[in-house]
Amino acid sequence: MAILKQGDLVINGKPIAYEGKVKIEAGSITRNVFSQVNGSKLITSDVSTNISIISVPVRATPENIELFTSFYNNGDNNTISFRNQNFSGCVMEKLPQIEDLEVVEYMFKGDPAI
Amino acid sequence: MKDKIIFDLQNSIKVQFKDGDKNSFIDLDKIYLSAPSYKDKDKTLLLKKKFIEAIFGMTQSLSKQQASEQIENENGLDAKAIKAILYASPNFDIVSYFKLFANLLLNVAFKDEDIKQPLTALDIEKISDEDFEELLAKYLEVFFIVSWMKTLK
Repeated sequence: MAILKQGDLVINGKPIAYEGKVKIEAGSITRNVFSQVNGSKLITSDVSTNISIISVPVRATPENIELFTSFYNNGDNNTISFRNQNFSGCVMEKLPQIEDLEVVEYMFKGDPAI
Repeated sequence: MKDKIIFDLQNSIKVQFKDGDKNSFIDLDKIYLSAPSYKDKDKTLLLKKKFIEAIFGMTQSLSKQQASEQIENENGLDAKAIKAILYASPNFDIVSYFKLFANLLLNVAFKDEDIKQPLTALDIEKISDEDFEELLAKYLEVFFIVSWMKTLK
């Protein structure tokens, strides 16, 4: 447990032991730029990409499965901190396929990093 | 001895916080500190040993009589004097002392008054240098110094 306390990944106040690399897409608005004949550029914003994706690889132990199932059951009521990035309103779209004691990736989608 | 103190941060830190059922981020400006328990002995004994070494380090240059008086006077050490001892003592490894205290904080520092939501290592890393130094000195002053100094009598 001592190692867990030192972790750099925390979900809902609980340090998480992960294996491999946590992947983060911080999320941002996509700008679409269009040229116009005899006019200035037209710029539109696509907010559909303004969402963070956090992928967490963990060993599928019974404890971790129970913990991440509880995060899934929380809906979008999850907060994630990874090093110096914070994500709120995180939700798991689905639970991954699990093989006993294999490393599985849990994927969250949440608000842009703060 | 008090069993709990509140420490006001000069620079607030953004932390995960559970408000009722809602998980969110807040700017934390107060840390709730509980007294150490027996399970923290591995850390508190080392903190005590190193602090006493720091005092002896400072009094090395004094005569036996002067050193004895100095130690006698340090029974009522406040946070300011504690910081002075930690920084002024020659050959004192203040970096590992701070790390050791950070380890203790994982067990005794909380984000809520009910002492249910502990600070994590990530939260502790966000505390500013000035706040951390003051926090360490205040914690030693309130929970340790009186009993530690009895060891030297």
